[in-house]
Amino acid sequence: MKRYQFNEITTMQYIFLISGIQIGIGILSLPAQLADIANTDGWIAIVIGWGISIIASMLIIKTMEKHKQDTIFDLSRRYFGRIFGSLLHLAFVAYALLASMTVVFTAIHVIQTWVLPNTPNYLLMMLFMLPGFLIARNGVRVLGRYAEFVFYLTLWMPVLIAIPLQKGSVLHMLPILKEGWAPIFQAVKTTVLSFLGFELAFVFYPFLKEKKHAIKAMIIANSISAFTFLLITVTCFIFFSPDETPSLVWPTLSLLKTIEFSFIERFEVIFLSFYLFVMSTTGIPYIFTTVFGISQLFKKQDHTIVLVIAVCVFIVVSFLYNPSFSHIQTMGSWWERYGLWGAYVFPTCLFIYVSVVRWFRGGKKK
Amino acid sequence: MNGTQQTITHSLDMNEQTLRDYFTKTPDLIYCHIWIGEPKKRALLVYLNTLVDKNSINNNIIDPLLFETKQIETIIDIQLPIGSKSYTTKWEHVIQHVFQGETALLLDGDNRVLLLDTQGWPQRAIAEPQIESSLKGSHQGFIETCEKNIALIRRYLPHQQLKIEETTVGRRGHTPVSILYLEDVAHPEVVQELKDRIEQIDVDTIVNTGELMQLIEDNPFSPFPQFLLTERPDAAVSNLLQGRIVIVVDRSPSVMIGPMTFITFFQTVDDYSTRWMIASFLRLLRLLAFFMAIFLPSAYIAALSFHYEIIPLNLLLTVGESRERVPLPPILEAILMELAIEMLREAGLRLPAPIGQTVGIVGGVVIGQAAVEAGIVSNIMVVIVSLTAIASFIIPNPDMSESIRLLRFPMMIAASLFGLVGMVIGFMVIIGHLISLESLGTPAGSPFAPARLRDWKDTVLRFPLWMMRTRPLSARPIQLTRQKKFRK
Amino acid sequence: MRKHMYIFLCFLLTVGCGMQSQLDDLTLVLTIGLDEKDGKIIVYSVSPVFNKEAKNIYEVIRTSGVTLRDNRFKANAFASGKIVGGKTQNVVVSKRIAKNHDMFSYLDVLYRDPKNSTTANFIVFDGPLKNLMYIRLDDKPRLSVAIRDVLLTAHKGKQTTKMDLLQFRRLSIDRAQTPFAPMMKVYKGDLVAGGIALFNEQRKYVGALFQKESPYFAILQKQIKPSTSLTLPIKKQNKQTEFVSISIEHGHFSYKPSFQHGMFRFDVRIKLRAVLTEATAYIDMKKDKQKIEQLLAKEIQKQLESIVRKMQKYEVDPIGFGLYARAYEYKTFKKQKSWAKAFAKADINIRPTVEIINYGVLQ
Repeated sequence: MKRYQFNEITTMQYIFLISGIQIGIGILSLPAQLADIANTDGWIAIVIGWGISIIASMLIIKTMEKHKQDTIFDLSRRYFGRIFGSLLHLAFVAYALLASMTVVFTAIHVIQTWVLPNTPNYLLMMLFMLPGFLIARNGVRVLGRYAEFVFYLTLWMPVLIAIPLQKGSVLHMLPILKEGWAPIFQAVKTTVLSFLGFELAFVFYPFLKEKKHAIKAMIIANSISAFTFLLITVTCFIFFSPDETPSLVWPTLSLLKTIEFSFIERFEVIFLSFYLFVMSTTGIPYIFTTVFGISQLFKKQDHTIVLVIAVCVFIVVSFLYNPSFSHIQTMGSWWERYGLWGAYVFPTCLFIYVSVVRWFRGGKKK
Repeated sequence: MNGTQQTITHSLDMNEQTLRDYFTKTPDLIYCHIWIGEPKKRALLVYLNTLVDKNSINNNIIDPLLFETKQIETIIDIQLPIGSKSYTTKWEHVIQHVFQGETALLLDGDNRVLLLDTQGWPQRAIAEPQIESSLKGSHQGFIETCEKNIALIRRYLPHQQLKIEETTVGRRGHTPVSILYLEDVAHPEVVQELKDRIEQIDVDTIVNTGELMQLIEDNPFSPFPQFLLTERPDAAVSNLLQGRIVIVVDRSPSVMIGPMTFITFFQTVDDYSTRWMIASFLRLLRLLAFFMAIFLPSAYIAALSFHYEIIPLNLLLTVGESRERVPLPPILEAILMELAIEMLREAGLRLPAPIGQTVGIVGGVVIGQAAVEAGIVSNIMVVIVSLTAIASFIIPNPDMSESIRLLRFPMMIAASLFGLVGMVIGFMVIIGHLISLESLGTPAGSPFAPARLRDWKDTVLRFPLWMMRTRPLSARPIQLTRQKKFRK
Repeated sequence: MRKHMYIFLCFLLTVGCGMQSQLDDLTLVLTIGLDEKDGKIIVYSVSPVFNKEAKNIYEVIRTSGVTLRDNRFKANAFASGKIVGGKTQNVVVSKRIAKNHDMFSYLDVLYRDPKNSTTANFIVFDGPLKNLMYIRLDDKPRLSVAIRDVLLTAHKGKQTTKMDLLQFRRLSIDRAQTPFAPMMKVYKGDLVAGGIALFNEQRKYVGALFQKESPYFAILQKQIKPSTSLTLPIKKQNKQTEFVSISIEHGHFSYKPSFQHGMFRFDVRIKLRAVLTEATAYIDMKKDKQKIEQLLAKEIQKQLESIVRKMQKYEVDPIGFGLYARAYEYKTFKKQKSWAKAFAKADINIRPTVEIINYGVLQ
């Protein structure tokens, strides 16, 4: 009897779920960060980062493949015993909590800066928690459907971003490799962190219906994200002059300011409001993971109560704590640091450990 | 009641007395005593005058009985030219069937009662349904009699796999409810789920199919309907072929069809008789109308209250000039006009035709124009409200159209509080709700979420008929092929 | 559970009502003007007036302060609605202030605040700005709309160029280019747009290209679509000057940078395909086509070289030769301390060719 029988998601939903998590808030400031380090050759770093994230994703899947019904929480219990396993469990939950807080607060901040300057923090938080609660309540199946729907809904966004391409000039990007390979490798450290999100495969893998497609799915999801990052970064580099990109905080949004139609001007207001969809596909899975992890810790099957508590905690925190922009950047950098360990180092170690243990256990049986 | 607890006795007098005790103050219950056979035996015909076909009783029952020359020992010996008859020994059956317009024949000395089908209550002729008229399809609609409705459906599907299961609902009403489905196409779990839900209903009666729908729907708190109510036989049949289940409720001209998805409420039967390019265009128009009906007033409010920057300059100057004269903030202006339109619509339903037209002109033209002149609303608001009203009329299904009319108001409030962000969050909430909504256990957001690309041939666009070779997956049919590739 | 959600929504309703900014309460600044007087910045804000009771359809507010944002606060004392700059169409600076100050740094607020519009047209006004701001035109719509429309039409006719704030920023920051802007003046009570203002690397105004030189500037910028009209003189055998007008439809450009003998060298090859639209003398198209094409090419080359020399004299590079230099000669480019100075010393070799593809319906 499959444990998560009624909550299964199809391969396409899995792909869109993972790539939806990856494309979120990082992309708004990615071109500026890259241009800072590697000038206009930063896009090469994205390609390298893509390769590394695919390797890490495959490691995760290979680890999970050996026990098809377990999430990371069950795994940690199995291999590390009660105490150490619970610690690992808590660590993962803390990571998800950090990520969700970063995403939500950054979203609120961006909206406050660009769209609704007069609205207080806590009102926006309450507003965002409304769909968050609704969608996270129902489990992975609804999460998958939501990610799929949002993908089709926001398909027009990358097309629109490519419009400024014609006003730019490719000369800005030439010559390629102008400073050599060293800054590119430095920039890779930034780009691998924009691919963060695939580590939630630790939680979502058991819900995938056709497990044999898992690796293919991860590759496709990472590729979709990589393509989007590349498109936006290259557009920024072509449109803005090389000295200009690092001077902008959110070059993606500044790019949008140039798009004008005859019936609507200042398109970035509309775009940003729709971008909430994209940010929600990042934030809600992390919130779900946090809540799911906590309720698994207390052995509850239904995570609704924990979700209600979590939502209330978020709202209360936003009443008291109004993060400034530098706080948000700090939160982001913590997430990145934690993520580097959690998403890249940890799966590698886990894979090695699990393989070794299984080899031993297999040996014992014989 | 004590009388019905007793079984039918052999004595005609006692039986008659039981009946008279049970049916007090029922002047339309006729007791017809006759003597039949040689030697004459006493018999009693009991029927409700108002529910029977008197000709049938006179010609097919009383006439042959009077001229019966054989000896009648038991009730089985009586042969009458009536096609449908049954025997019973329970009072409940007798009462139930008499209430259905059947005639009960009791014979002295026999404790069995013969029930003869003589139904003849007043029913109207078959006419086209008013709200679901079509240009090219059949102009027949369901009426209030269950059998005639089933007859209409059988005409389209003369196939032995069309199964009917009968049950009754309601303690006082005993409403006969028939469940129709194609056994080799409909999923048995879905059928069973439906039957279970109907079994659990415990009410006085169901007056309308709408009540049945509300009693068994998955999510009563949802603004969206989860079953389709229709009065057209061709719509019912087309859904049967897709693996859905049709529920015919006696005494109500609407049949209920489930499980439904969100997109089916935007499809009409006419779509399939028109050529595919025009049908696709009309579908797209309806989808556009759906978005307009929900989002247009909110977009206006959001743009004016929060995001004046997105309006192009020339339009902005015009809007500024027209808004300048109006004392109300945009949200109040919008709600005022929308409520006026809703009241106009409701009033229009109650008025007889000649007055209705006049009120339409007075309400629509004069009041709208006068309000603008007086400076209470801006003329752009009038345009927007009229467009929204027209858009909501395009939606073919009245339930869905009403849901959309309702959803406008929270969306307007969200837009007035949070601008475009409020609208997006509102949209997210609607989507979040739709994708978790279920209709008889199957997802109602299909084929958008979960996305089933094969089903998209018949949603927003309608592909040519000869390309739609499989049934849509939303109702989980167990037999998928509709047709083979025949067009070269 | 659902009951709680409804209560929560009602709470949202009551709290959230005060954050709107209604359109009728706003003063939309459609044109910003910058001038200077006695060391202070004078800012003009032009906004439309919607009230039917007012006589004028737009109002001009004049304030003096130290920066743009400072002036906006002061302007609130004059305006009848909150001043917002989300729909600004034009930013006009006077030649005087552009000569003395680095314009880009004063415009910082327009870039930093995301609520401002960066698609506004940046214009340099020839003369004191009050001549433009207080003009009341009877035959044109509101001033801001009039300025924008006149500028756009002039740009399409290649009498001047178009520069929005975002492009201005790009050119200002980029090491390999210098900014430029369209010019406008008031001539005998009419708004006239023509000519191009040139800014140097310090973003100060140094000179201008005349209106008649503007089409050639457009050619060098590779912006000849939809069509560029030129009227060129040609000398015939009888030493009389005749005029030929052509309308250039297509162009093929190739700019080849190289570094030779210690200075940059650009080989510019331009292939123009034009339609002959007017000829004041009789030209036999069958016989003289080649000759005419060569004469036209020579004339165009003369004009192009003259504006390039002008740019080199002012030490500006609005065309963007620097982009090519950086793309193909990166190492040398990096070594230059100032690209504009290197450009002034560069050797620019322009070779246009003209091909007449059509000459109307007359032989």
